[in-house]
Amino acid sequence: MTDEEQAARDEFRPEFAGAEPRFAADTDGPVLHVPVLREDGSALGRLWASRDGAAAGFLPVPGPAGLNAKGAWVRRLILARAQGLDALGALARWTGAPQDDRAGAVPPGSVPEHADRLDGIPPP
Amino acid sequence: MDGGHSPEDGYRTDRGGAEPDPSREADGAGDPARAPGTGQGAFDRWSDEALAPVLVGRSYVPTTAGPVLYLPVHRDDRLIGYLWASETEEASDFQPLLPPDTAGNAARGWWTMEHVRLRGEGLTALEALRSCAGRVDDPHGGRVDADAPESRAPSLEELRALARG
Repeated sequence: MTDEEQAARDEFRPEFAGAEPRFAADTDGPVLHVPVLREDGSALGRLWASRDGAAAGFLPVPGPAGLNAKGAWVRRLILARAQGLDALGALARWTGAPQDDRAGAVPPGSVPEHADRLDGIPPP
Repeated sequence: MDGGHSPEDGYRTDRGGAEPDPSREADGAGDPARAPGTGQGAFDRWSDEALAPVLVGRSYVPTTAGPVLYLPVHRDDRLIGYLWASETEEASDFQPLLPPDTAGNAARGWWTMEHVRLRGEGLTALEALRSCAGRVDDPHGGRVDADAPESRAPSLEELRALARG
Protein backbone atom coordinates (compact mmCIF):
# COMPACT_ATOMS: atom_id res chain seq x y z
CA MET A 1 0.00 0.00 0.00
CA THR A 2 1.45 3.39 -0.85
CA ASP A 3 1.70 6.10 1.75
CA GLU A 4 -1.04 8.18 0.24
CA GLU A 5 -3.34 5.18 0.16
CA GLN A 6 -2.48 4.60 3.79
CA ALA A 7 -3.15 8.22 4.63
CA ALA A 8 -6.49 8.01 2.84
CA ARG A 9 -7.38 4.93 4.85
CA ASP A 10 -6.36 6.70 8.05
CA GLU A 11 -9.25 9.07 7.53
CA PHE A 12 -11.67 6.15 7.68
CA ARG A 13 -10.47 4.56 10.92
CA PRO A 14 -12.69 6.25 13.50
CA GLU A 15 -11.83 3.63 16.12
CA PHE A 16 -8.36 5.14 16.28
CA ALA A 17 -9.05 8.26 18.31
CA GLY A 18 -5.45 9.32 18.74
CA ALA A 19 -4.96 11.75 15.91
CA GLU A 20 -6.80 13.72 13.30
CA PRO A 21 -5.32 13.04 9.85
CA ARG A 22 -5.32 16.67 8.79
CA PHE A 23 -3.99 19.89 10.21
CA ALA A 24 -6.59 22.58 10.81
CA ALA A 25 -7.18 24.53 7.61
CA ASP A 26 -7.02 27.97 9.13
CA THR A 27 -6.05 29.85 12.24
CA ASP A 28 -6.58 33.20 13.91
CA GLY A 29 -3.09 33.31 15.33
CA PRO A 30 0.41 34.00 14.03
CA VAL A 31 1.89 31.90 11.25
CA LEU A 32 5.18 31.15 9.55
CA HIS A 33 5.30 30.95 5.75
CA VAL A 34 7.73 30.03 2.98
CA PRO A 35 7.67 30.42 -0.80
CA VAL A 36 6.93 27.48 -3.09
CA LEU A 37 8.53 27.83 -6.50
CA ARG A 38 8.47 26.05 -9.83
CA GLU A 39 11.70 24.77 -11.33
CA ASP A 40 12.09 27.99 -13.31
CA GLY A 41 11.88 30.02 -10.11
CA SER A 42 8.38 31.37 -10.67
CA ALA A 43 5.94 31.33 -7.78
CA LEU A 44 3.44 28.51 -7.27
CA GLY A 45 2.23 29.65 -3.88
CA ARG A 46 3.13 29.88 -0.21
CA LEU A 47 3.21 27.14 2.38
CA TRP A 48 2.20 28.22 5.87
CA ALA A 49 2.07 26.77 9.35
CA SER A 50 0.53 28.23 12.48
CA ARG A 51 2.83 29.06 15.39
CA ASP A 52 0.83 26.78 17.66
CA GLY A 53 1.53 23.85 15.36
CA ALA A 54 -2.12 23.00 14.81
CA ALA A 55 -2.86 24.48 11.38
CA ALA A 56 -1.12 24.39 8.02
CA GLY A 57 -1.99 25.04 4.43
CA PHE A 58 -0.98 26.20 0.98
CA LEU A 59 -1.97 29.48 -0.63
CA PRO A 60 -1.80 28.98 -4.40
CA VAL A 61 -1.16 31.49 -7.14
CA PRO A 62 -4.30 31.90 -9.25
CA GLY A 63 -4.77 29.37 -12.02
CA PRO A 64 -4.67 25.64 -12.63
CA ALA A 65 -0.99 25.14 -11.73
CA GLY A 66 -1.58 26.65 -8.31
CA LEU A 67 -4.63 24.52 -7.68
CA ASN A 68 -2.80 21.42 -8.84
CA ALA A 69 0.03 22.25 -6.46
CA LYS A 70 -2.45 22.75 -3.66
CA GLY A 71 -3.71 19.19 -4.09
CA ALA A 72 -0.18 17.88 -3.84
CA TRP A 73 0.53 19.97 -0.73
CA VAL A 74 -2.66 18.86 1.01
CA ARG A 75 -1.45 15.30 0.61
CA ARG A 76 2.10 16.15 1.74
CA LEU A 77 0.74 17.80 4.87
CA ILE A 78 -1.38 14.74 5.65
CA LEU A 79 1.71 12.56 5.30
CA ALA A 80 3.80 14.85 7.52
CA ARG A 81 1.14 14.79 10.18
CA ALA A 82 0.93 11.02 9.96
CA GLN A 83 4.67 11.00 10.68
CA GLY A 84 3.97 12.76 13.95
CA LEU A 85 5.08 16.21 12.89
CA ASP A 86 3.20 19.30 13.94
CA ALA A 87 2.60 22.12 11.45
CA LEU A 88 6.00 23.73 12.09
CA GLY A 89 7.68 20.38 11.75
CA ALA A 90 5.89 19.83 8.46
CA LEU A 91 7.14 23.19 7.20
CA ALA A 92 10.70 22.27 8.14
CA ARG A 93 10.39 18.79 6.71
CA TRP A 94 9.42 20.02 3.25
CA THR A 95 11.89 22.89 3.13
CA GLY A 96 14.61 21.94 0.67
CA ALA A 97 12.86 18.85 -0.67
CA PRO A 98 13.55 18.21 -4.37
CA GLN A 99 11.56 19.90 -7.11
CA ASP A 100 8.33 18.17 -8.03
CA ASP A 101 6.39 18.72 -11.24
CA ARG A 102 3.14 19.14 -9.39
CA ALA A 103 4.06 20.53 -5.96
CA GLY A 104 7.09 22.62 -6.87
CA ALA A 105 9.56 23.08 -4.04
CA VAL A 106 10.44 25.23 -1.06
CA PRO A 107 13.99 26.40 -1.86
CA PRO A 108 16.62 24.86 0.39
CA GLY A 109 17.66 27.19 3.16
CA SER A 110 14.39 29.14 3.02
CA VAL A 111 13.83 30.87 6.34
CA PRO A 112 10.16 31.01 7.25
CA GLU A 113 8.74 34.49 7.67
CA HIS A 114 6.51 35.41 10.56
CA ALA A 115 3.09 36.93 9.94
CA ASP A 116 0.75 37.98 12.70
CA ARG A 117 -2.23 36.56 10.82
CA LEU A 118 -2.98 34.37 7.81
CA ASP A 119 -4.23 37.37 5.88
CA GLY A 120 -0.92 39.07 6.60
CA ILE A 121 0.89 36.71 4.24
CA PRO A 122 1.89 38.61 1.10
CA PRO A 123 0.49 37.23 -2.16
CA PRO A 124 2.79 34.57 -3.61
CA MET B 1 -3.50 6.59 -7.47
CA ASP B 2 0.26 6.25 -7.42
CA GLY B 3 1.74 2.80 -7.06
CA GLY B 4 5.05 2.58 -5.26
CA HIS B 5 7.88 4.89 -6.17
CA SER B 6 6.15 7.68 -7.99
CA PRO B 7 8.62 10.55 -8.24
CA GLU B 8 5.68 12.86 -7.60
CA ASP B 9 5.36 11.41 -4.13
CA GLY B 10 8.17 13.22 -2.41
CA TYR B 11 7.44 11.44 0.83
CA ARG B 12 8.89 8.14 -0.36
CA THR B 13 11.85 9.27 -2.37
CA ASP B 14 13.16 12.47 -0.88
CA ARG B 15 14.72 13.17 2.45
CA GLY B 16 13.57 16.75 2.68
CA GLY B 17 15.40 19.35 4.66
CA ALA B 18 15.44 18.24 8.25
CA GLU B 19 13.59 15.25 9.58
CA PRO B 20 14.70 11.69 8.87
CA ASP B 21 11.73 9.56 7.92
CA PRO B 22 10.71 7.04 10.54
CA SER B 23 10.80 3.60 8.94
CA ARG B 24 7.08 3.06 8.76
CA GLU B 25 7.42 0.22 6.31
CA ALA B 26 9.62 -1.84 8.57
CA ASP B 27 6.96 -3.09 10.95
CA GLY B 28 4.55 -4.45 8.39
CA ALA B 29 2.35 -1.41 8.53
CA GLY B 30 1.04 -2.09 5.06
CA ASP B 31 -0.63 -5.33 6.14
CA PRO B 32 -4.37 -4.72 5.98
CA ALA B 33 -5.01 -7.48 8.53
CA ARG B 34 -3.37 -5.39 11.25
CA ALA B 35 -5.97 -2.97 12.51
CA PRO B 36 -4.86 -0.63 15.28
CA GLY B 37 -5.31 -2.04 18.74
CA THR B 38 -4.90 -5.66 17.71
CA GLY B 39 -1.57 -6.42 19.31
CA GLN B 40 1.78 -4.94 20.17
CA GLY B 41 3.01 -4.95 16.57
CA ALA B 42 0.00 -2.96 15.46
CA PHE B 43 0.38 -0.60 18.41
CA ASP B 44 3.97 0.12 17.36
CA ARG B 45 2.55 1.17 14.03
CA TRP B 46 0.80 3.95 15.90
CA SER B 47 3.91 5.20 17.62
CA ASP B 48 4.19 7.88 20.23
CA GLU B 49 4.65 10.29 17.38
CA ALA B 50 1.36 9.39 15.77
CA LEU B 51 -0.47 9.47 19.08
CA ALA B 52 0.87 12.86 20.09
CA PRO B 53 1.50 14.80 16.90
CA VAL B 54 0.78 18.10 18.58
CA LEU B 55 3.80 17.68 20.82
CA VAL B 56 6.43 17.00 18.20
CA GLY B 57 8.03 20.22 16.97
CA ARG B 58 6.06 22.56 19.21
CA SER B 59 7.78 25.86 19.97
CA TYR B 60 7.48 27.92 23.13
CA VAL B 61 4.33 29.96 23.67
CA PRO B 62 4.89 33.33 21.97
CA THR B 63 3.15 35.40 24.62
CA THR B 64 3.04 35.80 28.37
CA ALA B 65 1.28 38.03 30.85
CA GLY B 66 4.16 38.37 33.30
CA PRO B 67 7.66 39.81 33.35
CA VAL B 68 10.25 38.67 30.84
CA LEU B 69 14.01 38.47 30.65
CA TYR B 70 15.47 39.67 27.39
CA LEU B 71 18.71 39.87 25.42
CA PRO B 72 19.57 42.24 22.56
CA VAL B 73 20.04 40.66 19.13
CA HIS B 74 22.22 42.28 16.48
CA ARG B 75 22.92 41.87 12.81
CA ASP B 76 26.31 43.34 11.93
CA ASP B 77 26.40 46.51 14.04
CA ARG B 78 22.68 47.08 14.15
CA LEU B 79 20.23 46.11 16.86
CA ILE B 80 17.45 44.12 15.20
CA GLY B 81 15.36 43.12 18.18
CA TYR B 82 15.16 41.34 21.51
CA LEU B 83 15.03 37.70 22.46
CA TRP B 84 12.82 37.23 25.51
CA ALA B 85 11.73 34.43 27.79
CA SER B 86 9.45 34.06 30.76
CA GLU B 87 11.06 32.96 34.01
CA THR B 88 8.00 31.02 35.07
CA GLU B 89 6.28 29.79 31.90
CA GLU B 90 7.34 27.97 28.75
CA ALA B 91 7.06 31.21 26.80
CA SER B 92 9.71 32.75 24.57
CA ASP B 93 9.91 34.63 21.30
CA PHE B 94 11.92 37.10 19.29
CA GLN B 95 10.63 40.66 19.33
CA PRO B 96 11.81 42.50 16.20
CA LEU B 97 12.16 46.26 16.19
CA LEU B 98 8.82 47.79 15.29
CA PRO B 99 7.37 48.17 12.79
CA PRO B 100 8.84 44.90 11.50
CA ASP B 101 10.19 44.75 7.98
CA THR B 102 10.66 41.59 5.94
CA ALA B 103 14.04 40.96 7.56
CA GLY B 104 12.45 41.32 10.99
CA ASN B 105 9.76 38.82 10.09
CA ALA B 106 12.35 36.45 8.68
CA ALA B 107 14.37 36.77 11.90
CA ARG B 108 11.27 36.00 13.89
CA GLY B 109 10.59 32.97 11.69
CA TRP B 110 14.16 31.80 12.14
CA TRP B 111 13.89 32.11 15.90
CA THR B 112 10.63 30.19 15.93
CA MET B 113 12.30 27.22 14.28
CA GLU B 114 15.34 27.56 16.57
CA HIS B 115 12.96 27.45 19.52
CA VAL B 116 11.33 24.34 18.07
CA ARG B 117 14.77 22.76 18.06
CA LEU B 118 15.69 23.91 21.56
CA ARG B 119 12.38 22.85 22.99
CA GLY B 120 12.77 19.50 21.27
CA GLU B 121 16.03 19.12 23.20
CA GLY B 122 14.13 19.54 26.43
CA LEU B 123 15.26 23.05 27.34
CA THR B 124 12.97 25.31 29.29
CA ALA B 125 12.28 28.74 27.81
CA LEU B 126 14.76 30.30 30.21
CA GLU B 127 17.43 27.70 29.51
CA ALA B 128 16.92 28.25 25.80
CA LEU B 129 17.35 32.00 26.21
CA ARG B 130 20.53 31.56 28.19
CA SER B 131 21.91 29.05 25.68
CA CYS B 132 22.00 31.72 22.97
CA ALA B 133 24.64 34.19 24.19
CA GLY B 134 27.86 33.60 22.31
CA ARG B 135 26.33 30.68 20.40
CA VAL B 136 23.86 32.14 17.93
CA ASP B 137 25.23 34.02 14.95
CA ASP B 138 22.96 33.57 11.96
CA PRO B 139 22.46 35.74 8.86
CA HIS B 140 18.69 35.54 9.34
CA GLY B 141 18.27 35.27 13.10
CA GLY B 142 21.05 37.64 14.03
CA ARG B 143 23.73 37.43 16.69
CA VAL B 144 23.52 37.23 20.47
CA ASP B 145 26.86 38.41 21.86
CA ALA B 146 28.56 36.37 24.55
CA ASP B 147 28.39 39.39 26.86
CA ALA B 148 24.88 40.41 25.87
CA PRO B 149 23.29 42.06 28.91
CA GLU B 150 20.28 40.27 30.33
CA SER B 151 17.55 42.67 31.35
CA ARG B 152 14.09 42.33 32.80
CA ALA B 153 10.93 43.97 31.53
CA PRO B 154 7.83 43.94 33.72
CA SER B 155 5.70 42.96 30.72
CA LEU B 156 5.76 42.27 27.01
CA GLU B 157 4.03 45.60 26.45
CA GLU B 158 7.06 47.35 27.93
CA LEU B 159 9.40 45.32 25.73
CA ARG B 160 7.35 46.21 22.65
CA ALA B 161 7.52 49.87 23.63
CA LEU B 162 11.27 49.47 23.75
CA ALA B 163 11.19 47.83 20.30
CA ARG B 164 9.22 50.79 18.97
CA GLY B 165 12.12 53.01 19.98
